[in-house]
Amino acid sequence: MQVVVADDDLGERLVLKTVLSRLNYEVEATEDGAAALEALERGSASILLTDITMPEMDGLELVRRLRETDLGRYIYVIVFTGLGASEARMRGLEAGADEFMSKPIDTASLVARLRAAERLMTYERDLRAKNQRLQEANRIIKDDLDAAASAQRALLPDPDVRICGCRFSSVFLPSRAVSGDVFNHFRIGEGRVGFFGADVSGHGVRAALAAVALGYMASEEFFTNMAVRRDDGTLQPKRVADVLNARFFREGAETYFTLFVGTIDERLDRLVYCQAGYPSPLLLGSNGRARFVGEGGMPVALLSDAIFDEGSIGFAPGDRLVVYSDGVTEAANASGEPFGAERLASSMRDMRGDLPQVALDHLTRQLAAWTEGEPLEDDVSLIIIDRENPQ
Amino acid sequence: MIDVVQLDNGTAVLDPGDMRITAATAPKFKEEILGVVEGGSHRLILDLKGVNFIDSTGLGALVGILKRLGPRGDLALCGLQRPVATMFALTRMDRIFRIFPDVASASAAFEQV
Repeated sequence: MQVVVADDDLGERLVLKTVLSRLNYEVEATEDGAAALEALERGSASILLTDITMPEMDGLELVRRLRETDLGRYIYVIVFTGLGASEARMRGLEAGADEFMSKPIDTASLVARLRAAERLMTYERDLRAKNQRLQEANRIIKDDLDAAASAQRALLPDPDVRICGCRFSSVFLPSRAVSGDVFNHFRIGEGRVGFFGADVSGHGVRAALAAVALGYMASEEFFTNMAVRRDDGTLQPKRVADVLNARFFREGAETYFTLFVGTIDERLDRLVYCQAGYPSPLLLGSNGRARFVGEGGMPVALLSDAIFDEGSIGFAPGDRLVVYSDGVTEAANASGEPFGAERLASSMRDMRGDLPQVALDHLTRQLAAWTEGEPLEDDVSLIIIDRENPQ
Repeated sequence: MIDVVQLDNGTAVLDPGDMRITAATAPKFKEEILGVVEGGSHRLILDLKGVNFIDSTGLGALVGILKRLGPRGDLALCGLQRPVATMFALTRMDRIFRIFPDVASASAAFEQV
């Protein structure tokens, strides 16, 4: 271990240097505060022994400056004082000294103090190394989370898409922690559209990975094959939930997801849906009425023998459906009160006559005001589906 | 810490107190309850009167406990606050769990078996 000595007396310096060298310390002896500080900055010593009275920069000033300097390591400081110099010790403590010794130096007590200092410094060095490893690990985890989050986002559709007489306008607000919202919509045959919103349970890499896997699997091709009966062409969104349940359920695992699958037949003006634990979408009819769609349903991949149901509603030109993840309704204000489905419904009713992107902006701003700009605890997905009037 | 009271009929009543069962608290919550199960209690009444919110991870933990108890065990829930009851209705978990208004009615239902 390296030690820096600061003493303006040549004789004292020589004595200390000899004693310390014999104890196997690497010693750099300096004759004033400035030289000692420079030696500490340049080298890797972790112990300083300093006299108080020195020309130019004295011992106390040296300790003060040392404590103000960030060397990236702790320096243990032993200050030499006269016998019974309680006043000097007080000032030494204030300056940041760790230990005191009176002159003339007694070799045995110097050795004892140096050993104590060494123990502390070894401990400090270990802690610093551990801390560095933790910081490194933390950086890697952050990078992984960022990668997971961008993989998840890359799967989301464009924010404004027209498919077979339906206009899909969407917004995704990622939460502070990576979590597992995913949604998409596609054409699944002549005059038919399929869409889904899903929310994987939990947060972090596991949820994001499951969301990405789900996003890849729930493709246009998958939807076309599953949600449309091959024989008579009727819509069967429930089959999407059945297949995903079989594919994603794993005994002993607790990652599951809530899902809403909808299929729209343009010619029949009907929406057939399967709700699997996902919040009930809001239907704003062209007649001015608003209501929530669906009675609930078991989530996907939570139970191996889950049973899913189908429902069906009229969905004609002029109707609007608002699909949202529970990140919207559960967003809490400062006193813990959730935004709630009623506030969402009232906001959407107010914006009934506006363009979908304008309505989404309005709701997004209301949410931000509700949470007072705090980062969201959970992902927010918002999708407005407008049945457009034929040109 | 979950408060555990053993009833004379061999049922354990578990009261987690005022809390939210979320991603942050669910692992410890589940671990404590499974500790009670491993201690030999297979008939549990979980009193949720102090629980004002359960998120998706919390629901996963409850289902995990139910699965761990298996067909020979029994788990009843009671004292559901409105947000919790709404969540159970939305996910149809009210058909998977036995749910009662309070400990007395849950305990009486156990007696009849």
